[in-house]
Parts: sequence; C-alpha cells; structure tokens
Amino acid sequence: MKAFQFNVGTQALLYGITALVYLFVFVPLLFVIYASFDPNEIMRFPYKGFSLRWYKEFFASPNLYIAATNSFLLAALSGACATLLGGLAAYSIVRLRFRGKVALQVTISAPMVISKIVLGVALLSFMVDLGVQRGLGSLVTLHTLLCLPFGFLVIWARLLTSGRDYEEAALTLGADDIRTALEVTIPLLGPAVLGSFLLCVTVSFDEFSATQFLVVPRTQTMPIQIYSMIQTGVTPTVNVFATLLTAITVAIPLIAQIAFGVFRRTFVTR
Amino acid sequence: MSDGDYGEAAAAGGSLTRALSLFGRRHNIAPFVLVAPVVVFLAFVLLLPIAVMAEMSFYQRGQAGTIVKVMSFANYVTFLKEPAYLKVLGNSALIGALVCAITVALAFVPAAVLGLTRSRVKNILFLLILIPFWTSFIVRTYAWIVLLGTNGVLNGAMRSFGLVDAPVSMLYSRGAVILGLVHAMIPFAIVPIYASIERIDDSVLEAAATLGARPLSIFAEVIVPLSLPGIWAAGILVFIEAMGAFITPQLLGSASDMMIAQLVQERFIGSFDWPFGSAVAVIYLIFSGVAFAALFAGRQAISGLAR
Repeated sequence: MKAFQFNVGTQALLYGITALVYLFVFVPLLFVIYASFDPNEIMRFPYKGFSLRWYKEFFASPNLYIAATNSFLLAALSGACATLLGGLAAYSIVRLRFRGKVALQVTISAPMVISKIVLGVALLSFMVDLGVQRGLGSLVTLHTLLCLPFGFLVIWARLLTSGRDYEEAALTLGADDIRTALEVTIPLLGPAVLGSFLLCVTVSFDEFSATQFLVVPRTQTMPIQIYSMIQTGVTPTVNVFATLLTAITVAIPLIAQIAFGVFRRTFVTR
Repeated sequence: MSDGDYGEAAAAGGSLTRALSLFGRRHNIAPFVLVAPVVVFLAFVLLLPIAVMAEMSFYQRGQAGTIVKVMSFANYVTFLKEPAYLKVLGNSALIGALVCAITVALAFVPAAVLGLTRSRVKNILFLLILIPFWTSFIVRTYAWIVLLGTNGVLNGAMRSFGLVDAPVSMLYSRGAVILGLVHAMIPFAIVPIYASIERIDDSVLEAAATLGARPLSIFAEVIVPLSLPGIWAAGILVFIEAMGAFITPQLLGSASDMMIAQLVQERFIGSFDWPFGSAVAVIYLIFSGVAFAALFAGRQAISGLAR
C-alpha cells in the first residue's frame, strides 16, 4: 500500500519542525559531553582545549566504584524480582480464571502513576514502624515495586498477542501442564522476559526520587552520588560523571538489542 | 474446544499436575499459587506502607522529631489554612498544566511525522526518540545548568557575540523549571500521540486530499480529531509527572518557589516532621488521584467521539 504523502512544501515544513524539536531534546546533552573534556578548573563557556584531566581525577575516586557496584547489583536484583513477579502476574491474568483481575492489574500499575516521593516516604514510614534497618534489601524491595509495572506490561502485552495455539497443541498431543509450560510457554516468552528485565534494569538504574529516603552511605547508588555532587556545587568532574552515566544507560539497551538478536536466533527460530 | 477434550490428556499427568492446571481449563489452585507472591508483595510494599503513612498523617510531631501518637486532623487543618502551603499545591498544578500544554504542542508535529512516514527515516527518528528514555533523568536536568548557568553555554555565547555585558541570570527560576520539565517530557508525549496517528487509515487522508483539503485543514480536521485519544493520553501522562516532579524544581528552581513533592521531601528529610509530611503526601495523593480520574474520564468521552 502506498503511504499517504503531503506535498513537498508541507513535508519540508514538517521535517523542519521535527528537526528543531529533536535538536531541543539532544543538544543540551551534547554540551554536557563537550564540557567534560574542558581542562579548565572553572567551567566557563566557550570551552578551551581537549583533555582527559577530569576523567583521570574522576576514576581515581573510590566512591565511584562503590556506587557503581551498588547500582548494577540493585538493578540486576530488582530487575530479576520484578520480571519474575510481573511475569507470574501477567501469565495468571491472561491465561487463568480467577476473581479480582482488574483490581490486581490496577494495583500492579499504580506505582507507575503514583509520585515516587510518596512511594518512598510510605515505605520508609512502614519500615520504621516495623523496625526494619535500611540496607541493600530494602532498596531491592523498593526498586522491585517501581519496576513491577514495567516488567508486568512487557510480558502482558506479549501474552495478549501470542495466541495459545501452541500450548493447546502440546496439551492435545499429551504433554502435561508442567512440561507444556517449560517447553512451550516459557521459550515463547523468552524475548519478552529479556525485554522486561532490561527495561526494569534501566528504570532501577535511573531511580533517585524514592531511593533517597531509603539510602544509607553504604548503599549509595550512582544517581544519589551525582545528585549530591550537583547540589554541593558544580565541579568539572560532574560533567564526566554525567557523560559516563549517559554512556552506560544508552549502552545497556543497545547491547541488549544485539544480545536479543543472538538470543532469538539461538533459541526461538530453530 | 470444550473443557472435556482435555480430560484424558490431563489424567495422564500426575496428581500434582492435575491440581496445578496451568492453562485455565478448570478452577483449581493454580491462580492462587501463581498470584499469591505478587499479591503479598503489593500488600506489604505498596498498600500497607500507604496505610501506615496515612495513619501517621493524623499524629503530631513531638520533641526532636519524635512522633506523638494522638489522632487529630491538625496537620490537614494547618495545610488548608496556611496560604503558603496552598500556594505550593497551586504552583504544582499550574506548572503541571503549563508543561502539559507546551509539551503536547511541541510533541505533535514530530509524532505526526513518525506516524505518517513509512520510510527508513522513520526508524532512525524512532530509535533516536527512545534514547532519552534510557538516559538518566538527573543528567538531562543537569544539562540545563551547563546551558543556562552564569558561566554557561548561553551566557558565554551571548558574551562572545557582544549581546550582553554582564551574565544574565536564567537558572533557579520558574521558567527554568518549566523548560527543564518540557525538555524531559517531550519523548514521553511523542510516543502515545505517534501511536494514535499511526493507526489512522491512509485512505482517509487520501480522500481528504482528493476532495481538495489543504494540508493545514487535513491536520486540523482529520489528523487532530482522529488522534485526540493519543493527545489526551500524552497530556495525562505529562500533567501527572510534571505536577509531582521533584528533581527538576530541586535542581533548576528557586528555593522560595516550591513544588508539592519538594514539600513532602523537606518535611521528611529536612525538618523531620514526618506526620505533617505524611499529611501533605496524602493530600497530594488524593489531589493527583482525582485529577487522574477526571482526565481519564475525559479521555474515555473523547475516544467515544473519535470513533
């Protein structure tokens, strides 16, 4: 089918406006990257020269490695928990019969629209009430809650579009339920499970607003650290931190895309 | 296929398998086993914490940040009687509404281009717009400090061109907060609008063009009305997110012009008045819940019209 097209003048105008909006979205970030190579002590535009001075200084700080380890560990653990919980819930809602589906779905999605500040102070109040100490465990719990709607939605959408024909075929051919689940349902869901996990990782990796209430110095994450650096005064190392954080958060999904392709070729289309 | 057809196949499995029918052929224990973990989790990490916080909002702050467990509406009365607190709520709603209007307006054309083109450009544009979703929110906000600061890019450029002698103060203002929020929200607005424009049948647009409609009236009379559900969804998303923003006003705003999330955070971390902070959080939850419900009802009405 031939797509509808406007006349050339209108097309040019539409693309022009689009280009401007995209520039507005991306140019600020480019200046942060540019500023990170400025050798001057005091940041002052126009920047002069190119140097890795602040990169060297930044990588010499031991706090960075603590925060990076915490961030990656937290993202991996909460991503796995949210995918498992969200996946089970999505599966049950799409494939099984039980009461209260709508209520469950609304409650699972709620953390997406409720302010992260409110979620953070609510969990903090509850933990203090119970006398639970703040540590990595409480952060994993919080991040699992924040990631749950995303993990759920990815797998839910996949289950909705994939019919149950393959499962029915396996059952009719005499496979029992557990075998059907292990050999048909889960392999078919593979890409969605991976996609859900990665989306959760990027959500957790970026989280600041709720995290600030449950964090202790030992469990500092990268967003917590860069935020306190910005608050105490903008130094050139903040630019380096910001550039690296951008690089990491863009790299995770890109690597995932490639891994996803490999995964699909290896396991799905045999 | 009826349920009975599976009888033999299921009977071939063990008794555990029979009890754990995973494919919804009959009512059994499977839903409870599979759904229990998420229900327990939500009860203990979402619902009970909010209940505990709501309970605390009726208590009072005692000496040195302790909590006096005497129930009263005092915190709510204080909030509703004090113009400074009401102003914080009003500011948040106003900033939310402004950011919502500007963001949706700016997002519409890129969304239309994404939704109407079928070329390879579309894939590139789509991949690009996903990048901000992955990029750290703090970094995207911080970028405006680099741009708008007194020694920043904009002031430096204006100085080089001789436009200004002294640096212009742009940061730490409401304008900077709105700019930062619009910048952060544009990608979130583009996606739902794009999704609804992409669903428009090309032949409808062809028909309008064949009948002599100019490009502007195709937009105003065909594309906008047909994509209203998407535009409205984008609006809800941006309004709720912008109204509850914390990082942006904290980093780019002025200390005297607070938003509601900042007030909650300040009471919890700054002044250790958890009961009052909880009351503000509850008021905010109710306010955003009502706003969300009203906007959502509006969207349902609009979807009806668009059909």
